[in-house]
Amino acid sequence: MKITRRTAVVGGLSTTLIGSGRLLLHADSAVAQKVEGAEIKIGVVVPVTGPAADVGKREAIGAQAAVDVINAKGGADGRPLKLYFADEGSNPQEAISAVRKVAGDDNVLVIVGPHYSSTAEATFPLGNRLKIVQVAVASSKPGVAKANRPYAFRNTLTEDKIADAVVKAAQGRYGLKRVAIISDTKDAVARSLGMAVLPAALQANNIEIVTGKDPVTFQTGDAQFTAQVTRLKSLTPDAIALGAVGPDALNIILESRKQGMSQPFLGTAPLMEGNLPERGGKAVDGTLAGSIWDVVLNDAGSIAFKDAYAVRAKTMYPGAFTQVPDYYPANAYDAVFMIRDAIVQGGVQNRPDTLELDRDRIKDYFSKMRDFRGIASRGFNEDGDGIKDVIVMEAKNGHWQPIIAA
Amino acid sequence: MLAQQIVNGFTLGSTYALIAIGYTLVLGVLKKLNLAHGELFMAGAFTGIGAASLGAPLLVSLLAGFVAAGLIAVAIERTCFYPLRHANFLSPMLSTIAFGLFLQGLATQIFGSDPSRFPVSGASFQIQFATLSISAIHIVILATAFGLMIGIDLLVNRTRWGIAVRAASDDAETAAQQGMSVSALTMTTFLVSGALAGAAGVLTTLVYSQVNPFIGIRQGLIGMVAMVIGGLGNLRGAMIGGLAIGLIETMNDAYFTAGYRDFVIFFIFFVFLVFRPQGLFPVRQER
Amino acid sequence: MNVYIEGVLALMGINILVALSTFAILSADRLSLGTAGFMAVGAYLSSYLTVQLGWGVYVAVLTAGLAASAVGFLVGLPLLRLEGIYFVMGTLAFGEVVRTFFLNFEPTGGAYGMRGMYGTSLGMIYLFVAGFLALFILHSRSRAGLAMDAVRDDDQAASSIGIDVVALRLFSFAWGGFIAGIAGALFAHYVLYIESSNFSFLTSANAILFVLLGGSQSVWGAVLGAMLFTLLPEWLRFLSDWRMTVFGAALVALMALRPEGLLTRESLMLMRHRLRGKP
Repeated sequence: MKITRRTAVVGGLSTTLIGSGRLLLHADSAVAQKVEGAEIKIGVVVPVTGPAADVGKREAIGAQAAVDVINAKGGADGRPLKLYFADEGSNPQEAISAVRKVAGDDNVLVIVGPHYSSTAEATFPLGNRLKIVQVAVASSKPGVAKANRPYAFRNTLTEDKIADAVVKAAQGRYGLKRVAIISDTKDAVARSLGMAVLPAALQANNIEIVTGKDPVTFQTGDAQFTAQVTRLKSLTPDAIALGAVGPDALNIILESRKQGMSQPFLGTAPLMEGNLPERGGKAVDGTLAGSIWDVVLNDAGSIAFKDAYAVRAKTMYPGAFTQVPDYYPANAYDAVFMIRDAIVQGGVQNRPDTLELDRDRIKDYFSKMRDFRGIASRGFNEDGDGIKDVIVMEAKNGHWQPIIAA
Repeated sequence: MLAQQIVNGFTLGSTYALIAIGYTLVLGVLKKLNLAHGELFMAGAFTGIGAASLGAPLLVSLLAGFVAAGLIAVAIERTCFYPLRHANFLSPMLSTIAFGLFLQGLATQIFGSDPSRFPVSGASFQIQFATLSISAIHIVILATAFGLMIGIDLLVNRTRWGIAVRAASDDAETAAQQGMSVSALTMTTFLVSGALAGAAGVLTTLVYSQVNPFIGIRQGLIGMVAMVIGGLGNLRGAMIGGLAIGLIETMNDAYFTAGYRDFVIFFIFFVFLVFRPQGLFPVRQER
Repeated sequence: MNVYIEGVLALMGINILVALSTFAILSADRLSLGTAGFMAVGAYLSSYLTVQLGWGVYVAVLTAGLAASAVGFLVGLPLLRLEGIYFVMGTLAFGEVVRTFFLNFEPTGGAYGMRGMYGTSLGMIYLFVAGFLALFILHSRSRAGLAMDAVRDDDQAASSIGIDVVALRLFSFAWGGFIAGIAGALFAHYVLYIESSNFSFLTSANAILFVLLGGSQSVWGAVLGAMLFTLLPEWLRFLSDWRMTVFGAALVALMALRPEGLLTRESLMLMRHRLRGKP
């Protein structure tokens, strides 16, 4: 094409216009845009039916408690937040339906949830197709968010970081040389703990794994563990590492005490579900676990959370099993505050015609969030997983107590 | 370790046997398949836990579990079997699946989805025989289970009620001769069947410590497998089937891996159904 | 189209296919509780073919369906000798064997499940639905269809006039397996992640419930049952955590009040008459 003067002028003019247009756009998002609209819609996809119902309800309460606190102070830039709940039923199929509902029917800005890793593995790809951010509050199997960039985020700490801290603490406390592993074969997180994460952590700390490549195995929710404990006993380890969730771990420990074993046990975050110290009493004293938050913490943020949670738990899903918050609702609480920050500082406009743009603004803000001050959260790393501190805990006198803040 | 694992297997198996016997009563004798049978196990366990957490002494909690499960079984009969008695013979079975869903949801709402346990953590003492150790509570389970099995055996084979129940499935006249209506017989059979499942639930939870609203699904299926392997309609067969499954499961978990546990059990189930559907101890037809 | 509605319609299409599978087997007077097993074979195989071997979706889905029907043939051979309730338990055992197999089978993910399947579309799902429905309608008017009716009404009489009852049943079972395999494959590509617990005994039970609730006497009953069953849990969302409890109770009540299902042969004939303007 012959470059005439006319072409050059037109070309130059359009480039300048487009360039300055882009500049203007950039300027838009750099300055915190005024948030509009009657309310800001946030979706919450957690399980309130099925095997994870108890913890899902707590997560819902945690999220709502955050909204209560934020709205009492005027909301996000003057606009109140409103949560739109959809039950994920503790299974991926329903979770997909729930995500579609809040994203496509309720038109929410961002979604808090889902819960399980296996559920997230189903909903994260969907979130990428729908271009909406999901902040999972419980999934901790390594790699799940990484495989689903850019809209997948998890406000959880992956288990490998917790395992390392716990193993080091256990070694320091008990001087371990030989450890046996007992692992779940059904629950994905507990299984990856027992089969991959804990062995890696033990090996990294030069501890011999007496069960070799074949840990003693069971299935989530098993009614009894006599066979497994008998086998553990025959191996005479210094300690036993648990690839298990709290309720199963409790039974394993109790059964082992019944069979005359006195060795200590160790595990990571899933161990802290199900009130192990309260229910196990002396039998579980000395068990080590790790988490990113526990109800015994008393810093200002945690107290504010606990207060707000207690109020909300009276009217929302009231019942014995939702009264005491654990780290799941703490993650949900922080997630809502993170969203609030993203809205105010990310330039969200909250107009019906800016929905897609706003969803992307949340995604962009989260991708760079490294310095958040939550009660248990500091932001997201490059993989989309949570940045948090590990707290190693010990079961003592019927409670979990922190021994080291790593 | 082997001998200890065998003991473990028998103790586990005795709880499976109780479930299987309850199943057999309804299926073998009444020719009806109650797929919510596992939920009766769960309901008995939870009622027991509920009673205990309200402060009831242990024996009362056990009885509460028994009775509650028995009554719910009657409710199942009235809502799932009786209204569908003229329909496709497998329709009631599917209605029981729905009833099971209802019970699971109800238990989740009342007790929560996390596993529950009895408030009393039975401080059990171990009895040692050479290298074998068996806890006192395990002995109680074995004894209770065997006692119940013998009791049911007597009930079904020696009492008027038992004769009437066995006849009612083939021949309403004989039943009427014993002075009881088919309806009353059906309901009482369900009552006993449910009570047995509830007993298994309470005993299992007491000893092995945890139960959750969804545990009935597997317990029911295992009970079915035990029943078929033992011989459909044969109470003694169900007992042996239960013990056998308990042993297989324990050996699998001890020497192989728990992940394959159900694969092994259901594969054996399949093989039996194909090659020996009458089970190990076929019911002899009395004519 | 609203993303939510699209999702519900997709699931509904898959459920219709599952119901058709049950109906196919039921038409030969056999009730299978192993639908989930066929779905699992279809789901895992088509996922493996597309994710690991790079096959195209249509080919993978059809191949998976064929594999499932082959499994149906092999499993049906020994099982179909069994009477009523033993057959049901046999299919249940089959379903559980398949589920527990995939729980442990590492090449397809084991307990961690399988992911990465690229999506199927609403159009593709309903193409299969329409195709199978057309086949069913044609079949019911054919000689083969009449033979099936004969077998269902009285199999001894049927065999006495030369109908090979066993062959017919075997064919229906394999055919049902084919449809369920396709349903499973489409499900995997829609959900984008599968694990063995998606293919449980409850899944098989749902498959039967679609047909029994909708009306087991005609293919339209199966379709209606599947549609209702898909929509009911969504309508009940407002019940929040009581959803499943109410759902179970509602099903029990529905079955007790209308045991023959919603769409019976009589009601269908009535509708046909009305549509044709007859008094």
